[in-house]
Amino acid sequence: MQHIPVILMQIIHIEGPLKGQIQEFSAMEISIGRNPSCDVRFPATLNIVSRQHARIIRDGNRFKVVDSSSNGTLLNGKPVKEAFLKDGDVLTIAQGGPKISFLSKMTNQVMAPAPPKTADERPLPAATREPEPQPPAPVTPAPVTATPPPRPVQPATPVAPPPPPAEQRSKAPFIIQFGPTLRTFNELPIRIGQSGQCEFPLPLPGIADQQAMIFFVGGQYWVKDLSGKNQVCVNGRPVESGSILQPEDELCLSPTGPYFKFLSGGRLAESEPPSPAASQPSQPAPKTTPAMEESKAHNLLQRFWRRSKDD
Amino acid sequence: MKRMEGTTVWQDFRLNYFGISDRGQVRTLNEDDFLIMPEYHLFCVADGMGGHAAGDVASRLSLEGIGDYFAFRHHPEEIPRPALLPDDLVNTPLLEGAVHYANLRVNQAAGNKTMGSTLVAAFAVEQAIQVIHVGDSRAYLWRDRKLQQITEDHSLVYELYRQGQISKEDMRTHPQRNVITQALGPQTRIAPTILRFSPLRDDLLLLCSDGLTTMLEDSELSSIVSTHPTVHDIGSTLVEQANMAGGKDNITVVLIHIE
Repeated sequence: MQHIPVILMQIIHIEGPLKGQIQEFSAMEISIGRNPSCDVRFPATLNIVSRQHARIIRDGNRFKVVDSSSNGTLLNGKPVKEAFLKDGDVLTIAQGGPKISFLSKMTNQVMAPAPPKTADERPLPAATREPEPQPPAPVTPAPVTATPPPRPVQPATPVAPPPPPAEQRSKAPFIIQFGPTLRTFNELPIRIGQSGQCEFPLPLPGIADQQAMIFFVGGQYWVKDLSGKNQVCVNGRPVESGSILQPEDELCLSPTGPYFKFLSGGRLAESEPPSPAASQPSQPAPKTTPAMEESKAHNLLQRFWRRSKDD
Repeated sequence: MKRMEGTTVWQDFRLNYFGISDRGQVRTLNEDDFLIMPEYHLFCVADGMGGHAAGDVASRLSLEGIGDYFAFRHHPEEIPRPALLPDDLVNTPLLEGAVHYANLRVNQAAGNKTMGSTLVAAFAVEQAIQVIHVGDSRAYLWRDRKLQQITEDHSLVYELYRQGQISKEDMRTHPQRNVITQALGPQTRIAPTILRFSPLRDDLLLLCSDGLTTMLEDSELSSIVSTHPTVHDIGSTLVEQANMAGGKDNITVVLIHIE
């Protein structure tokens, strides 16, 4: 069984008529523009965007944007014709136009052993043409052995359980919303910290090289403190070597943040610091009505986590 | 692999959508595709077929045809008239017109090659949701905690099932399960099936290629829909489970939750 690393590019629409939409591609090249055939397609009447406005092309392990528009493409505010992209870059499609953010992520796609090449096995409903010859049925490859996702367990009364083995790899979905970005993970554990080695790098002051780890065991999501300084807290209590994350729990990664709310289905959404914190000036709680919001993070929060009310 | 998600407002509903197309475990190419045009509340899945990667071209052309038609019909002053659009399709109901036009696009491009594509599409317009299909890509509706297939496959095995000669489970393993009776491309005339329904809040519509339904039974689909809270989770899990069950074909799913 091989693991082929697949590089995906993720485009999040952060401003403009498509605000909130997220797209991911594993293709070597994607097109951006008003043409209906574009991969990142803007409404036909948004005339400042050209029909074939720009492309993002993979070059080795990196991606570059190539502009072919009338009104230009800005990379982090500066006009470019061709430039390499890094995670978190914001592209403005035409001066004064919609904005998208760019992220790339590596995922390991499990591949069965290469099958024999077969022609497409589906004969067409041909009245006027020769039907395709029936090719032999493809050899079924050896079944992929993957851990089935654990069934969710009824939460026991929260007596501090012994910390479970943290290194267990499990296929469990985990999504982190932080500012305008959304990172999706299909496998845990993941580490959060300053270091580029972390699956979720967080280059903020007060965050250690490896600050925290999220893992999944026994049908539950857990968080573990890797900082060695007892900084990671859930609902105000230090997590130390492991603490379960339950829906509505508040996670704080360090005394200076960032702060997150954990929602069911493995979603961590950036939030304001909890109000009892005396040292912080009190911040308003995130609104849940679809009003015009000043914070893009809140917009993403209410659009994508809407169903959490039903859980 | 391709994924797309977002939300769009329609009437007094919010349509939360998620589309994903995955190559599966066996095929060397992904000849499925999907198209979501949120501004038109239009959602489509296409499964292409034909030798030598013609399926890839067929599904792409089908969806381009639909997209070009919708854009032109909505903005006839600003969008140039699509190539090959005959006069008798300029004023037909949108969804029907788009599918007939897409058929012409694929038919023209095929020349003397054999290529075609299935299609299943949902379009929210006025007070109803219209669903059109050609071939064996399907639409399911989740309502009152039950998942029901609302389209009838244009396929040989579906005919056998409808006549009571085989069961629905047998369809998935029947030696002629790949024989479909209609597709976009091979002929200049098609007879798509259209249905309409009035949506209720919390309805979930699932459009998919047969790469999903030959790997997972309806009861498994139902179980996944009922145990995941967002269209993103449902869609990702459906593809994951179809891959774990063998992933013998490309897998494409578009989900629309009506909130």
